[in-house]
Amino acid sequence: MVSATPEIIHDQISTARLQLKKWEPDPWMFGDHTTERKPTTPSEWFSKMFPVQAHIHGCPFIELAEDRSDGLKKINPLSANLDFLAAILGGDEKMGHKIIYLEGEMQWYYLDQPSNIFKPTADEKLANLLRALLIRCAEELPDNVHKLNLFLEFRSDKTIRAVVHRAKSILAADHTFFCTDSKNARQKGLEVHERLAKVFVEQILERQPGEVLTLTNAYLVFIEFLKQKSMVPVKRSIFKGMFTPLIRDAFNLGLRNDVIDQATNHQTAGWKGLRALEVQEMAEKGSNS
Amino acid sequence: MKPATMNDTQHEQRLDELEKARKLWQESEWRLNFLRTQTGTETPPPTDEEILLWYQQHQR
Repeated sequence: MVSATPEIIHDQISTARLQLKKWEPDPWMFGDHTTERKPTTPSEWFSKMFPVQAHIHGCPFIELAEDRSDGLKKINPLSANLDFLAAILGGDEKMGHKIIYLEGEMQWYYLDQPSNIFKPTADEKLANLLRALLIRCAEELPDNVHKLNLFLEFRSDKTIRAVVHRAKSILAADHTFFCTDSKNARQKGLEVHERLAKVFVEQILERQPGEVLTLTNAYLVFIEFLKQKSMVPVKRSIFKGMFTPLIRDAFNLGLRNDVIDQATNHQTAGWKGLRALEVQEMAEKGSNS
Repeated sequence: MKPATMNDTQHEQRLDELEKARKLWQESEWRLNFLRTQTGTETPPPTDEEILLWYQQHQR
């Protein structure tokens, strides 16, 4: 954290205090938004722009307010409220924005405008938005505000990563968010299945010497996995095209046509040295339904 | 241009609202562009009517 040295503070400041001060409208303006006073501190700037999040999560920054002997008032934002910064990534409803983190897919979605369709986005893109808001705040505030923390410390990879990580719990949504009964629509297409396929390979498949995973069993388990996420099934041919390169990349295993299906004792397509966790249970459920 | 069905006051109100709508639309686009991924297809810019409709939907 960057702050003034104690010697400088002692010489020039008559009083200094820590403050948690959100933006409040001028009481004399009676809701006239055209002549609203401008924010004068980083906390005021952010809480004016995101009043709902400030109401729920509190003041955006703790600030050192210094009344100097020369009559100037200096404001130095010392530390950021990570919960507030994480919550503002959720978007502003005034503009129809909404951002959620779909836990089952480990995927961010934002509500695009004017289409009103949720589209996928990434940690890095959310980080870019947050960094842009912080620098805009620094640029728009007057010169009596210390800008160094706004520019450097709060925009550092470490801080931004912590904010985006925290946002995953604050903005978490479960699989019912996009279920068929929900009013939320997301971009259709194979890319959703491809993302789920990657999650499936990471979470459900594991290397196990001596084991055999047939293409049929892997397909049935994946269909069951999709059903749990309220997703429509994919065709077997599409599944084969998606999974063959994914498994090769993840486990260095190629699809072969000489594995023996233990249930039928027939030669079939599959992977040697691979198994799906809970394969029996999921495949049985899949074939029964 | 003023539509024939509007009087001067209505026309002025519409222009005021359109100005606010454009401002909010610009802010919305500024934020959403950080989250979007570039695509090969180009989306045409919205018309004034579309911006006004979008604004009215979200101000309710």
